[in-house]
Amino acid sequence: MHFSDQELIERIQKGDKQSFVVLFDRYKDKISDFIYGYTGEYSIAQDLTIESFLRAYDHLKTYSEMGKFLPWLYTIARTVTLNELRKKKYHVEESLERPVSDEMNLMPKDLIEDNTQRPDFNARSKELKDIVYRVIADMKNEHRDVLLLCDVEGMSYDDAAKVMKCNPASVGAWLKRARKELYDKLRSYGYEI
Amino acid sequence: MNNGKFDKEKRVEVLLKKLPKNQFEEDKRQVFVSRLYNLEKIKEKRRIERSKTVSLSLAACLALFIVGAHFLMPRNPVLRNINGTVKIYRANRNEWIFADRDNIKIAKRDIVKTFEKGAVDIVLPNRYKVRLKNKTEIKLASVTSFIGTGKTIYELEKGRSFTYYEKSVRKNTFSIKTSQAMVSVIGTAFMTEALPTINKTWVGVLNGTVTVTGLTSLPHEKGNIVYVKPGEKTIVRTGSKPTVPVRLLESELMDLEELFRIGEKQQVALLISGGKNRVRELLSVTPLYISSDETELSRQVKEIVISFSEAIKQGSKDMHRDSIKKLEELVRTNPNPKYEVQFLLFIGAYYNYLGDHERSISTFRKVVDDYPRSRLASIAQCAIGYIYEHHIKDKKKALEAYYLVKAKYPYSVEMEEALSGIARLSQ
Repeated sequence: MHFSDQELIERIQKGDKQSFVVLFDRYKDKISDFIYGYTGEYSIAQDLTIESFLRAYDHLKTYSEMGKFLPWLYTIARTVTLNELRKKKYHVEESLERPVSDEMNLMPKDLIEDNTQRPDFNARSKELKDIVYRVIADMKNEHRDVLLLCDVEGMSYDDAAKVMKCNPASVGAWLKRARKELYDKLRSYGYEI
Repeated sequence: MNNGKFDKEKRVEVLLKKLPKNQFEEDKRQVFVSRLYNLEKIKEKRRIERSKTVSLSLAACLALFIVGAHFLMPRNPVLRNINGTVKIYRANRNEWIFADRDNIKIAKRDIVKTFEKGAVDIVLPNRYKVRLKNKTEIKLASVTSFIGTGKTIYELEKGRSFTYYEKSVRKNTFSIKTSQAMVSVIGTAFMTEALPTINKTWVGVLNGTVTVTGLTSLPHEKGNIVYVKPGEKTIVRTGSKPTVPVRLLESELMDLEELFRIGEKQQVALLISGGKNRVRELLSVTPLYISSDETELSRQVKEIVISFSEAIKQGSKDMHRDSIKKLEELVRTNPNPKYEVQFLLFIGAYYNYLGDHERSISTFRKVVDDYPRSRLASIAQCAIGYIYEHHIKDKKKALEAYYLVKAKYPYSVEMEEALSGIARLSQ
């Protein structure tokens, strides 16, 4: 039986904790991926995801935004993560430069052009994701936010603006600049895109 | 490959969409579920820890506040050695009360008043003692904090106050103010007398230095602040500058010697009156008061007193001599100006009682020579004259002794006795 977010929230508000576990399972990957873009470390991202959900559970009693649960959850996750980043700086220690010897490395262009013939595609694409997310984690907040919210999560400018607490027009402008920055940085590190 | 602007953006957009999704680990999911179901317990635990921390912080703040307040609160002096009638005006209650016990605290703006036969010490332990003589009125105008910062100001409305300032504290000033002058301490013992009926303030200094400022319309005018040094005095009249400090008279110095005894409990005292017959009282062997405090001195003296009693019971002159020698030995081995004069007078009187007049005279002479400024020196000098006149029958030496009383102690109680002796012997 499939419940909508709103139905689950109503059940949670009546004291049904299991419904919150359903919501967690529904969005945990999205939220942890989103946070991963900030930390560049997936284990930390998972811990912060748990914290974000527990924070959301605490505030669900006062939640009233009909049908906008996910942007609201992103807002909480972003706040929790930025607070944590303020307390502890997560540095990406290793260099992002592509090792010259690693000719087997998957290039972004392979992914974009669906060159999936390689037998090690899955493993290599995860390695590539690590590289891309670490570059994103090093970008300034606005650029990182728009890339993760709009391009990775596929959010509209309006919803992204709500999460970032800014103007939708600004989201559009930042997104253009962020894409260019990511493109240039990947190329400068030796990755063909 | 087209590297145009549009393509760049598009390619990044596609890349990000095609990146693989991470899978949330099952272990972490279990952590979440467990935490969710124990959320209340965890919250309760955190709440208790927080309340403990808050309580501890509050307790620490409270302790700091109390300690801070204690140090910043005014430190009030107390009344001690109350003699006769002493009254306190409680400014906060607007009423006069009788000071009937020691250690009554004096607050800011309170007034202490002594009457015809009253005297009292205002004491701030380890800082100062202010002795008020009879018919004196003083107001505590300003008080220092516990750590001693601030100004201590007493306003002497009338009468005499002796101040013995023990300890100078940084950022603290001590002053006695009268209608005519402000007397400020630089570490000292001094006496201030306010005479409102004749618009005059008298200041005499025994130790250290005080500054005396005339309360004129031009306080910083040249000559309005004078430094009064030990053994000097100055006088300030209403609206005038203080007079140039001059040497204190002998009689004034004797008055000031009382400063040495402020706040001290007398351990040894001759029980003689203040009347004109006190030389005769002394020579008939005056009782000697010994404090009941358990000091080494009082224990030794008590032993000697027992031997005196034994001598009286036995009627033995030798035992009397032994006892008096023991007392002489005690004085010799425990020299202390606080009670040596009293002991010497007692010994002198006792030798006279035993008929050893020469020793009696030499003992009294020791008092006169060693303690010329003592208030009891005049008794000793007069006693010498009395012994020469009545026991040794040496008119010439008796006259010499009486004349010395007249010359050295003209304001003493013994003056009358000496003059009548001179009159008798001159016939």
